[in-house]
Amino acid sequence: MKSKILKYIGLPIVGSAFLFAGCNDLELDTKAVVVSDTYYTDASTLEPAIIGIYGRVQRATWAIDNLSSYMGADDLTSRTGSNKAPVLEADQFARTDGNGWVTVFYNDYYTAIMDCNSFIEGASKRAGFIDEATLNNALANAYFIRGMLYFRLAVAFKNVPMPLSPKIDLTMKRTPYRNVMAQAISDLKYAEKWLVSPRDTDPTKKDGHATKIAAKAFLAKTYMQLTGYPTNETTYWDSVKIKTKEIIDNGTYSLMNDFAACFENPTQFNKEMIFSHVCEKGIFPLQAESRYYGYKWCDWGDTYMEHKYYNSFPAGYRRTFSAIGAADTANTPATDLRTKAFKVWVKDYKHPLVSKFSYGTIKGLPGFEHVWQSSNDCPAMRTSEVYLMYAEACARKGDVAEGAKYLNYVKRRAYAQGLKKQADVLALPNDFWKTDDATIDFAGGSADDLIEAILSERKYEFLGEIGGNRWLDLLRLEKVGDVNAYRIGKTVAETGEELMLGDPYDKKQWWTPIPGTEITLNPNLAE
Amino acid sequence: MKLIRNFYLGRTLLVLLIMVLYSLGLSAQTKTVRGSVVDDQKSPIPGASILIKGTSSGTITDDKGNFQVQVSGNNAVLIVSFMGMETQQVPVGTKTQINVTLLPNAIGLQEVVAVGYGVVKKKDITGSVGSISSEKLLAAPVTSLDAGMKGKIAGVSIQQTSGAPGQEMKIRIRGASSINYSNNPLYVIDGFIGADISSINPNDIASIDILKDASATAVYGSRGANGVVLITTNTPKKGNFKISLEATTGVSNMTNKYDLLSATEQMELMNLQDIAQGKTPAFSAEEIQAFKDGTKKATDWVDLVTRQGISKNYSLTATGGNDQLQYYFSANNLDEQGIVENTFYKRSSIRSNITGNLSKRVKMVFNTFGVHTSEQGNTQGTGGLNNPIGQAVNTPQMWAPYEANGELKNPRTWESYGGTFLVGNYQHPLQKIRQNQENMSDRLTSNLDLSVDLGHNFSLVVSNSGSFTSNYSGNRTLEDYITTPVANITASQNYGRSTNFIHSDVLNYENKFGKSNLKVSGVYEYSKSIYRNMSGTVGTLATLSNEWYNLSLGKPTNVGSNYGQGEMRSYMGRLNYSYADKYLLTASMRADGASNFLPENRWGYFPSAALAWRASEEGFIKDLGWVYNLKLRLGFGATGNVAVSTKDIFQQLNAAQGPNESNYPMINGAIVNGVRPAAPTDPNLTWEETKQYNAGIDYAMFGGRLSAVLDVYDKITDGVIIATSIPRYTGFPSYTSNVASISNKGIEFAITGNIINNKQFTWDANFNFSKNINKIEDLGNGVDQIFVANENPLGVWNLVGGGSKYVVRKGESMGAFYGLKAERLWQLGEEAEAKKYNSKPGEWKYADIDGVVGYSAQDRQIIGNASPDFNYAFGTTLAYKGIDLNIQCVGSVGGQIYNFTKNILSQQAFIQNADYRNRWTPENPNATFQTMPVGNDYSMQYVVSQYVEDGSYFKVSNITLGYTLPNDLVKKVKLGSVRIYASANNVLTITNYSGLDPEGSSTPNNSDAQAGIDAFSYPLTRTITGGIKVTF
Repeated sequence: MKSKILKYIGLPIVGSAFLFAGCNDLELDTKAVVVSDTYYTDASTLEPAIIGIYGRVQRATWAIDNLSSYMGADDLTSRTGSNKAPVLEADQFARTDGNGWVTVFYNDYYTAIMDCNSFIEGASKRAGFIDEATLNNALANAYFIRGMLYFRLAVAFKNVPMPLSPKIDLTMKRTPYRNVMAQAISDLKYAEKWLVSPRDTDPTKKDGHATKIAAKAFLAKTYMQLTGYPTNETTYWDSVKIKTKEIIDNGTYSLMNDFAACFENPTQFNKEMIFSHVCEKGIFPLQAESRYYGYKWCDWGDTYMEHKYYNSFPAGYRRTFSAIGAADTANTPATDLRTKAFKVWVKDYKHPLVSKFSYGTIKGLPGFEHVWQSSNDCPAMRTSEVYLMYAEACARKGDVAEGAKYLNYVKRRAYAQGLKKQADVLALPNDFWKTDDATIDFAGGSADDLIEAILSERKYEFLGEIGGNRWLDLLRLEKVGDVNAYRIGKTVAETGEELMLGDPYDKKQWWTPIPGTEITLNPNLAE
Repeated sequence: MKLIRNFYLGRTLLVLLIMVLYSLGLSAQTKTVRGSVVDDQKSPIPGASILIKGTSSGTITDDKGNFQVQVSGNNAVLIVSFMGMETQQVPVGTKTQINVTLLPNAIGLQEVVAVGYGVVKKKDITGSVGSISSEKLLAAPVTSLDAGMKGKIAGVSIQQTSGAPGQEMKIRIRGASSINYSNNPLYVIDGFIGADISSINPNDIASIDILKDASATAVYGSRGANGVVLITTNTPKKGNFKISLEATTGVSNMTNKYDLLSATEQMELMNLQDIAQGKTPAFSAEEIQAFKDGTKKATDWVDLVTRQGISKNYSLTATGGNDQLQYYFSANNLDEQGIVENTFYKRSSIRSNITGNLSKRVKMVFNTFGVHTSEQGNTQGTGGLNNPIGQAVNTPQMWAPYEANGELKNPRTWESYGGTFLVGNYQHPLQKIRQNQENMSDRLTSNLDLSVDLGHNFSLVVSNSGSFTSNYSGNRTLEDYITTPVANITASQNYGRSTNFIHSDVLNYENKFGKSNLKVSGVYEYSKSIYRNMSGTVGTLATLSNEWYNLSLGKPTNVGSNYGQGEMRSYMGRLNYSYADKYLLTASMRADGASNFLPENRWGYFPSAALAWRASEEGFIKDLGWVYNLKLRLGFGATGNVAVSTKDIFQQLNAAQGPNESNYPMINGAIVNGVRPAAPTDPNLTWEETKQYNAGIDYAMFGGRLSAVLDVYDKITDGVIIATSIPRYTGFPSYTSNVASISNKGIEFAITGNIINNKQFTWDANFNFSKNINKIEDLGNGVDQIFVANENPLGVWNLVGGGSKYVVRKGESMGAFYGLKAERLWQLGEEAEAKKYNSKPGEWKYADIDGVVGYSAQDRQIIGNASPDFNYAFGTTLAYKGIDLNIQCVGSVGGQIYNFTKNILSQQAFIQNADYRNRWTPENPNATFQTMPVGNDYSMQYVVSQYVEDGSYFKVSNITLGYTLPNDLVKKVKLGSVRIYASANNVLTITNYSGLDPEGSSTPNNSDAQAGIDAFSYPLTRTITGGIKVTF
């Protein structure tokens, strides 16, 4: 009997249990699992992480969500109805903490910041194993992005949570505005020190990494915001002047003859573009297209210009390229496809439309790619901004002549001798904007007159660009109320604009509320 | 020895008795009665007992089911009985030939029920187990298992959420206890754990046993928490080769249509809306007139993208064999064409079940199932506004589908009517429904079980089962005018393969000690699964004519691969003890070790114990006479839910994120994919653990003709893995850890009546009821509520408050709708107050609860819940001579539905909902439906309570009428039997829900934290099927 049992047990057990079921330990199989602790093995692993960070920022800037923070300025507006509430809130000074578009860029910026924190911690552990300059250059890219984003967050939301490590802190309090700005400065200084890019010497190189020059420019921008409301540290004008002067003296970057060059895909890596969020309309799933342009601006009319703003838009090439209003569509021939494409929307929305971002989105025109996706990079820092920051710093320090010189550069380039066609502008002599042009040059006057002229120039030069320069100017100079006063208590019929629901002089309305769900999830964020 | 002695004693007594009777000479004549005993399928029943009433004499039938017995006189009555069959009393009268048809016993206490790693007799069950026989499952022609199970078992809720062909239904056993992970039950087919039920051929199923309470499911340990469905496929039947063929064909149609305004009504209302906003009306008088007088024709887009669905199903089964070897073969071919154009699901399967006696002591079971499925376009059933139906309903009726030359209209040439419609946002619905893809899956599952009788009351079952699955999908994107211009066309292929292997050894010991009955089982089990897949996408194709078959014609844009492995080792012991057939005890303990988790979190222990008292075996109850069965059960068990895989316990650097997530054209415009950290997770993740108490009563009377089961349970799940929403400044939406506790308490009740049961006429009816109360007990970390991470947007983006439509809140049931509570419409005279909310009379006034004037994320509150208060079902079967009628009804009460469809159709951008006919106007201030919104339409930014509707319903889900041709007729054409039938599905729905169907849902089937939103869900259909089944 025993032998039979052995036979019967032996056959199936030996035949299957040992063959298949094994007796070894259970294996934690991580062959396809990638974790930070084991990832950064050598220098070649750094770049994919940097690409991940830039990619995430690209996703945060590919469309105009961030404009929802800046709509209280006197440049852009939108309409009631449809799905435009997120952009209209700030325009009507009725901000809520439930703004869907604000949530989008808030979330994306912080995701990118966490990517930076994770990279900085993970890659720093490899110090000593990877060549120091290589490692620090990679780290400097992460510091640059983090510094730039903390600057953008602080100027939109004022006091914000400020994680600096990948460790998750669910009870964090907000960091005061001034400290966030200090962090931005510290990060950008690291970037300024360690960044190495071919674009520091040759701006036409198609390379998306940040440069030393870009770090200097963003440092200047941060210092300039500190000179005004709410910190009013006017001593920083010296720093603004120093940093912008360094860029000017370096000479690698200056202005393009063609204002449009910075907005049109093939020409965007140029001597004027200091930093841009690079976009390329790829093929699924390798996509990094821009939606900053056609889609939201043209077809859907998410935002367009306030009449008052458009009506005082200085004439010239820049205006022709940037804006299309009823008069433009009425007076141009039907063969002008660009104007024709905007005509229906100008009529429907009864407002002038922003046209400067539409390159590549209008069928029949050269460069056409797609109606709402394009390869146009999203400019974040142009030399004209450095010139105007420098000009203002000079004016603030009493050097009117030097300030006027750089203001005039920008004005002349924008006017382009009154030309309207790109071909004609391209035919102008090199650096034509360095030559006096009495029709457009600053007429002379006091430092205050110059500052007014610079602010007016900034208002039109950066229309609709990421970062909301017009809004930042109004904020730092506490002019939000004054420029919007004309709409207070007025009907739609009287101003042609939507009703002003809140009070533009109410400083609480000057800051974007951080998304309400953040406070729900971490009550320590309440203020 | 004792038995033998009794036998002798019995025989002696019998002989004595006969002698006594004979000597009394009461009835001098004895006669020989011959006969046969067959079942309702006309198959002979060997071994049936024939007893002469009032005597102890009788006989049993031979292997052909025939018997022969001596009776005295014409007053004799034969008692014919067989295990599992209804006992019959047949008066002999003057007859000498008696043929008896035994019908299955209504309650079947002797039937065996699968309980996992073995079977027990129904009478010995201590846990809560529901069973469905093949006969009940196939009463109506079903092409999927879930359809056949619907309404059959109390506590098992089955919801058909989509009408897409081949779509699985949402199945829950006693509620849901996981928030982020699956609540689907564990399926075990012939011992293969974790089987796929979507591709099984229902005709192959012999029985389904559903383990509901944890004392029963604990034998499956870390996989038993959601209940276990044990499926046993057909066992071959010894005898001559028998073959049967079945063919059915059905047509399906949408049960309802969307209630829309006519084009002219819509245009007129939109004009009024424009006027109220001080805008020029979008539509000119001439334009409206053109639609009125028919110069222009409105387009019925839904009609254009839908059709009548047709399904065909053919099956063949064959069985036979001798004493040594028996076989069962089946083949099935299903072709379902969906009601949305171009959608289909096809399935072909074959099965071979072989049983055999390898020797006197060794028995073998060898089952193999192979299935091939292919489908197209069925995943488009979800996705809300983006799916073909959603898109079709929302495309303006004023737009024409075709150019004058018959070409599809370029959507960019449609008229925007002054910006009213966002041209450029609309794909052409007829482009949307085109398909250019193939998706297929091949699966081979096999199990080989050897049962060895070791003698000395020991037996051993050694099983090896394995499954190999291969998936393939290929597609080329189709160009359209809006989202995919020619330059964006890509072709891709995706291959996946997965293998699952399970080895188990079950050693049993079974013995009797006096009145005690003991069975002990020990189980060792090891399983391993590995999956691999690879996908490649290319763009810039040299030619489109080779579709996706030759990827070398393009440039690679993406190549990805995936790999994962899981191992599990388990030990399980179970003890069944009964005393005097009255007191029953089952106890088990399972230990599971899973490789998914870190070594220190690997092992889980899952004990269970259950007691039952068969009160009906007690003398004092037996004496009552009318109690056929009375059993009280009490059980406890612990189970788990593995939920996660190895990858989930690490925060990964992820290189495979979606488009635009981590791509960047860093150098020379070449887009490169970078790495970024993926969502953080607790490395110490381990399984979710459920403890459940169950008390139940089984009761039967009238000889088992009326039976009832009542169960109450209390189940608590701890360590529920949740992706807790965390503030976004952390860089991530959620953090995953084992923190929550969820309870499910409920009551189930089922009653079955075998009202009439005779040769001519049988009538069965059953009713069941189940109520489950789901409650979030704790969310960990002192958190009171969380939002479900990564909610399905259903085509609606940017809702205020981060896009959440649901909240999971302590003290509430899982998956509550979260939004603004509509109080009433603003009325005339309230203009000033309404203006503060950017509203006007006739628009909705919502509860403003945060103390700050204006609506914000802080004004949201719970406004409804999808989980029903209770479900019930009713089924009845009537059979008269050859005719059989089967009716199945299901009902659900108290669940709510968020009618997103209606919300979208009413939004100011669409104004299509027919309710606008009865809208609020200054002249009609008592109306309950809003006026056209002209201020902020909050229903575009919030989930709003006016669209939360009562989702209660009563459905006649199926009626089937069959006719089995008379035997003599069939015999003439040399056939075994012929049955023809007609069946209607989703026959009638009684509900207050204003959408298409209260069962339809757009939320993912595997989630309970997000359930009950109807956003243009794939319409459910009414299907009429006709079929014939022939047995040779």
